[in-house]
Amino acid sequence: MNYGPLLFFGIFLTIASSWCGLVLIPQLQFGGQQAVKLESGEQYPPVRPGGAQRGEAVYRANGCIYCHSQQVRAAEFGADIKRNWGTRRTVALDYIRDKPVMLGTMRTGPDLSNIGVRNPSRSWQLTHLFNPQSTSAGSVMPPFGFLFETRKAGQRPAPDALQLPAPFNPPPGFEVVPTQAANDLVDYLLSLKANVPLPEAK
Amino acid sequence: MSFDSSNPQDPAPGAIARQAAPSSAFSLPDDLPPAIQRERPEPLEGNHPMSLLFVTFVAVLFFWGGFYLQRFSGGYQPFSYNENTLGGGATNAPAKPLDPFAEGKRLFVDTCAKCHQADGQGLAGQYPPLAGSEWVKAEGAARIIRIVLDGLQGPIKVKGADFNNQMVPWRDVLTDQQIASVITYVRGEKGWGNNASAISAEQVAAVRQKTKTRPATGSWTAGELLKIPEIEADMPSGTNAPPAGATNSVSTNLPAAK
Amino acid sequence: MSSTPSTSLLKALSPSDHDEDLVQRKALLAEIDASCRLPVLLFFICGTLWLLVGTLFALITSWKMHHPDLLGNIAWLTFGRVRPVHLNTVIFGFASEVAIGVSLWLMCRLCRVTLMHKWIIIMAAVFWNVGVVVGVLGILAGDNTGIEWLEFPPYASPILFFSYALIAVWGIITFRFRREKHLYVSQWYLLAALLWFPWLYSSANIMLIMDPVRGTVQSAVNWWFAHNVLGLWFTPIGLAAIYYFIPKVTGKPIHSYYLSALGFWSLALFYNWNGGHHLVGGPMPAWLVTVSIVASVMMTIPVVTVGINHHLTMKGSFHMLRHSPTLRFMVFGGMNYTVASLHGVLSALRSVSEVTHFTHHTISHAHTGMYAFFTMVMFGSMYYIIPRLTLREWPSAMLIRVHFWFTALGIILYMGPLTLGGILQGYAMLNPDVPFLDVVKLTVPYLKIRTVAGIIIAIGHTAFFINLTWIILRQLQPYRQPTRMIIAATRNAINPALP
Repeated sequence: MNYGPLLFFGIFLTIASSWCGLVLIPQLQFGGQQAVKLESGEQYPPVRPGGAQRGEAVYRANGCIYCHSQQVRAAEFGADIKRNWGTRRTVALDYIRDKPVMLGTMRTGPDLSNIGVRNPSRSWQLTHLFNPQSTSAGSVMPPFGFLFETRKAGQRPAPDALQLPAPFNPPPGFEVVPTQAANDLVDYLLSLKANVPLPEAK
Repeated sequence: MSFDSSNPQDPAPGAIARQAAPSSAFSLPDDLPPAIQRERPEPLEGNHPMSLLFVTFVAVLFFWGGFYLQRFSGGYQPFSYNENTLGGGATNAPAKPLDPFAEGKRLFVDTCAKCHQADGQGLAGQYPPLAGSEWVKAEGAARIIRIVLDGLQGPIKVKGADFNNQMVPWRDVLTDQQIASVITYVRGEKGWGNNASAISAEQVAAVRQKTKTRPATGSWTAGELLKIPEIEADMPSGTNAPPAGATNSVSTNLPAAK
Repeated sequence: MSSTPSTSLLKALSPSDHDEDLVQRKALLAEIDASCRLPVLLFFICGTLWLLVGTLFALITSWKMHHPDLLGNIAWLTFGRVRPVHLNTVIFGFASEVAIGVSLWLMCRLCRVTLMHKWIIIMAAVFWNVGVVVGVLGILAGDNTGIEWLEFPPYASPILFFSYALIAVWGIITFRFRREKHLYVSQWYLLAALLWFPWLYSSANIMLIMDPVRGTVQSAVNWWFAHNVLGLWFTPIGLAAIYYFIPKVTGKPIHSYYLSALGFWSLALFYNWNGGHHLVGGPMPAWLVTVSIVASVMMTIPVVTVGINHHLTMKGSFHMLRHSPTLRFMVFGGMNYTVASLHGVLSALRSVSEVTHFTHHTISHAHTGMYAFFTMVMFGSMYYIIPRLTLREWPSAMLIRVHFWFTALGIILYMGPLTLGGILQGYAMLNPDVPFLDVVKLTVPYLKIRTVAGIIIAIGHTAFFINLTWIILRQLQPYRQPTRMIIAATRNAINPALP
């Protein structure tokens, strides 16, 4: 193999083949997929409200993807559905509004495809984010205290002050309130719902 | 194991001597760096043929690859997610009968234990306990079904302790069967000292129907619940047996999300 | 530049007939080494500094996995930022820089031309490092793109790409002006890596960041890119180094040209189709995953081919592992290439992936490929190349021994328990009656062992860094400075042919 041009050509051809196969063909096959109209008249997937869109950026910036997947595997593959992480497998349509698509490859923590369905409690999500140990002892999730503000309590506690259990509560006279970023992140989490029945998800 | 400390780069002193032997009549000029002087010639390739066994192995792999690709590609359709769909290997396993207690335990761990904790003890001052709770162990399930369906807000006394928090409604999230299973589990978990009767999906369905306007009003308060009799006259009877047609999959009968 | 005539390598086989030729050949090698000195050393030194930074971030990441409260409430040191910083410093800082350095040196030697216009390469090195610094600061500041293996924010990637363009263009020019007619197998791999990487990096940046495609096509592009960074960028350079250094150090030809050719072309054909196996079970059409599984299994061909070729070349020379640090790192890396790849073949199968996907098993596998194979091969290459650039011998054999044993045993301690822990984690997750928190608690002991392994590896890196600093700093001193351990080397330190 002493002929340079042949080598060049082979090198070019091999990468071109996989680029066509794994990049171009998927783009042609389902890159133009559009939202569908449900019987109720609403669009699926819905456009995320502003807070949830900002929350998506918080999720991305703090690398939640490294421990949490956003994909539910089929009923007969793995125990995702038996664990109640979803009622059906997720399909391409579920992700067309995600920027970027954060499927994830790790489940150090549980899957979040349906966290907005599975645990819709805003106060729980905030408490858990502030310090995961306060609700889930033994968890290895890091605390996100930097998304909260611990400040001197006024005459009356702020309406959004966290109610923290004993060892995690702030010193007397202080209160913990979520910042805008924390509220946005929870908006995003609560918007994660991939439970609309879809024909291709059988 | 040790390196030649003065010259760790060299393979072995003896080897160098052997290598240098052919050109003994000739020596390299001293002004070349020593590393260059001692290094071996640039690499070359030998011409050993490939073994036939290996060629056969490669051929078999190619054959397998073609077969697998054709068999498990779901017809190359963009929305065909199941690799078995067009291959004839149907995977629809027959539905297994459901054990409400086991399903309830799974659901509890995933959904309820986040607040009430896996041991059912809750968190002091935060989330009330379910283990030994008079609200859970009550003879009839009228109140607890309502709490799960539409949530609870405001002050409540459980096992003598006061709580004041907000429980979210599960009406649109869990099916009748799931709610029945999880309540059956919570009421019947002997490890917590609870030993109340199982409840059925029909009972949940009846309450769901009766309280269908409740979401507009908001979650229940303890005071409202106390006015409702524990055992309602028009309630279908509870049962331990799995309802006909129920399957192992929790995906059945789920109400469409709003 | 000397006017050495272009002659066939075969002549070198019979040096007694071509004494003059041999002198000229060796003189040219010395001249090439001298021309590479500054640019290649620059890549090696910066790469090693990034290795230390990456190792530090690795330790923080690993510690946080079992003690999440460590530095918990500092936004820029939260787990989800520290982890991508670790990945990107070792991939784009350490591994890529050292890989570029090794490629430059190998390319020059195999083409038998000196490094022309080295200021281009020096500029590229500066830009590359600026790009990595900007990217790392961007991630710490919260500008992670959220795309695995492509976390550098959009304002960092163009700097890297510009720098890379300089290197690639230079590489092709060098290749064009080669004086050696025969194309040795290492050159195929180097040329391929040089051409594949810009295609990968630009495609991924355009289709994921600048003008993102829609929905899960992103995931397809993402994993096509991410897997190929390993498969089409690091692996070919690692293999090129092994193919060069094993025959170079043992003085024997590579066993079989035919195996070399089959290994190269089957790798080129199959490796780039592997990415989809990261999406088994995901929202991807069945065909895409199946194609990747088939390609992953077909990777058995190049892996076994290369393994046989290297083993049969080494056969009879294993005693040299006692003495030659280069060979020892090379053979350790080569063996782990086989292990990592066959492990990858297994993990790509649907039935295995069902268990191991989403677990620490994958992390362990990634380190087998990137560290036990590639990084060790790069260490071995640096042990050979650096003395030729600095005209000094390695100052301490003890530090080399510490480096080898701590990194080799450290990575084995890393891989074994974490692979096992990942499998146990996978089976626990498959059982819906095991609460998720129990799955988490099950993995914690293995994560702690991983931290211990990381500390051991960090000690090895420190030893290498000390040795490297030592050899470089002495380089800065005037020649003829007597240094006890390198008497043999200083004797010929003054070379009029060298700048």
